[in-house]
Amino acid sequence: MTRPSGGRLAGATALVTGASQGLGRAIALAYAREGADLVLVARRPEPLEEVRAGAEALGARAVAVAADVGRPEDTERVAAAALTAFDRVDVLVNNASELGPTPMPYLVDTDPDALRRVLEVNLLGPFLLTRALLGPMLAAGRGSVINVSSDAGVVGYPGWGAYGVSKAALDQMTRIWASELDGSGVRVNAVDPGDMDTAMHRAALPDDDPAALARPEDRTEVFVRLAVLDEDGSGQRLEAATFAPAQA
Amino acid sequence: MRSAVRFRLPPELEAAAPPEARGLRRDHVRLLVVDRADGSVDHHRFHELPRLLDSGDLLVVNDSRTLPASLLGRTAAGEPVEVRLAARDPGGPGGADEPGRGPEDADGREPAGAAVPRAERAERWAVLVLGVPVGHPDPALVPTDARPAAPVLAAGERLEFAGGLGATVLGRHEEARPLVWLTFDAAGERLAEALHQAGRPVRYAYVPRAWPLHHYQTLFAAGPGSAEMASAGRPFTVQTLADLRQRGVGLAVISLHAGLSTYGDPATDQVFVPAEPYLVPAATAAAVAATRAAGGRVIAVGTTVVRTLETAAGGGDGAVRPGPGVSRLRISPGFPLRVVDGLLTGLHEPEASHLDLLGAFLGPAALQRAYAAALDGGYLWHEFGDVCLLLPRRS
Repeated sequence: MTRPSGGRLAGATALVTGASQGLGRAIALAYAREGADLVLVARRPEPLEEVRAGAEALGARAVAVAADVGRPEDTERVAAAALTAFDRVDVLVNNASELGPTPMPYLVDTDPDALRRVLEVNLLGPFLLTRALLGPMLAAGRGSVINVSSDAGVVGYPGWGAYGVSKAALDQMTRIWASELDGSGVRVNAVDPGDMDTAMHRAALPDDDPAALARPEDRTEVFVRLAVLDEDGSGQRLEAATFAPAQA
Repeated sequence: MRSAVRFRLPPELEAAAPPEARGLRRDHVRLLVVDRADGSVDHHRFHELPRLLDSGDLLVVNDSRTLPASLLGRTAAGEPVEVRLAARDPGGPGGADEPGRGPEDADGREPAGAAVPRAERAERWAVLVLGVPVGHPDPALVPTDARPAAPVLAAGERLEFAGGLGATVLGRHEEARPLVWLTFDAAGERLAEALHQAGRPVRYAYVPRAWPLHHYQTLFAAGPGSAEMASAGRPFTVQTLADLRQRGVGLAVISLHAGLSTYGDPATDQVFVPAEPYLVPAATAAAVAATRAAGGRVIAVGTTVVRTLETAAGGGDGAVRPGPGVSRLRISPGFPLRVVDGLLTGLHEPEASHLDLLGAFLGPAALQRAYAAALDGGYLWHEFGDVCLLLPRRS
């Protein structure tokens, strides 16, 4: 395959977590179409390898790293593999997310270990990976970190306790990263992708009609725009549904 | 010529834990500022660094990431060994001499058309093999030079490490008696992953407990390859960088993967200078030239940066050449520094070759005076300790 020329992300390297399915997969393939090199991270190697092959078929150079972002001991391994394969990571998309037990219990019935696990994946994971990859971005004076948020982090939906708390905290972490890194050239933003037809949505709301939901592929435009390295704007919380898909 | 500095390091001045674990912020370690002209000293904290420098000065840092370079494993006969990675062969695949990594790749990226992923190429590593004391709960606490003899490893011998990582011994190192060459069953990012599953940071007896690898990373950590942390960069924080920007002090990076600080054999430690691959990005070479042309000071953060910049400036005109290279430079008293004016560095042991390098910045009497001040002042030594800035007066 020939490499896309003139893609908006040509020359950039992006690391996407939770890249084996749903929104993460769609972001990875959108980035591949725009000319980025990719480091793809997810827990399960087989579906991740399929996405990696798909990205390569689009002309990207892509490596897959099977890891659990909720495990601190995996963070350095992911960073080292990424920076061995590509020497630098310009864009980090913290997309991997844990919904918690389903059917979703109210807080009073939420197991503390389940809450802890959700916070480890959705909050601690983005913190650890950002910390591990921040330095080279700072030295280069540019970089983009994108945290995937949710309106469950803003609205107090019953039954969305663990997940909602984690996303509210991630939004606040996004703002604090952004203010601490102000002037460094490294931008940190959050994106609320909105409701989409994904495995997570089906697990959370099994009665919703998939046909009425957006496809993850239709929500990637904002992720491309935030990844473009000469863009500015940091500490924002953007809604993916307000960005029209790029014309093919 | 050997360094003239002689002292005994009292054990209480060996930093036994990261500053964060000692109740300090990373950038609040102590900073001994030494005037290169006469060895007079001032006592500071590291976070004061930006105001000790001037607008137009340039700090050059090493962005090498630390590997978990200590691997416990077994020989085919079942004998336990500790293998410490010293260096990847710079002449081998993936090294700086590799075809296609010419100056046009000076920003450090692989050429876009690279046909073979790194993971599929074999890599040759120089490693130190140590015996493991039987029944000892933590082999790291037994000093390197007090280990039981390592098993003799013949070419072709297999080693197995945790997580199923295997390696084959290729033979003795030609120059350094304690080292052997070996090749792992994986390479590139697959090897990086396997090392992170099998290895731990190299740790010496003065650090009594194991710390996770991230304590051995500087803020700048990019591509992995150092056997030990390029520790002079450890105190830098995001706040330091913001203060430096505000002050008008520049920042540039080089990459040089630091090797082991000891081979457990005094004779080898004294004479062996490993070949260390480095990369000077074009932007760094340009920043050094611009700084010097404008009368600013170039300050190396760590002895690895001194070796890199002075090697890259080894051509006739003294300009720093961008691109990859290999340093075998041993800098000692009397070495004519061509581009580096100042040095931020840790405090070094009496026998360390680093002290020789410091002799290129300070005369023997001044160096002795500075180290006496550090000892009297209770500064802490080693990778988790305090730092020292050798600074010329602004001309």
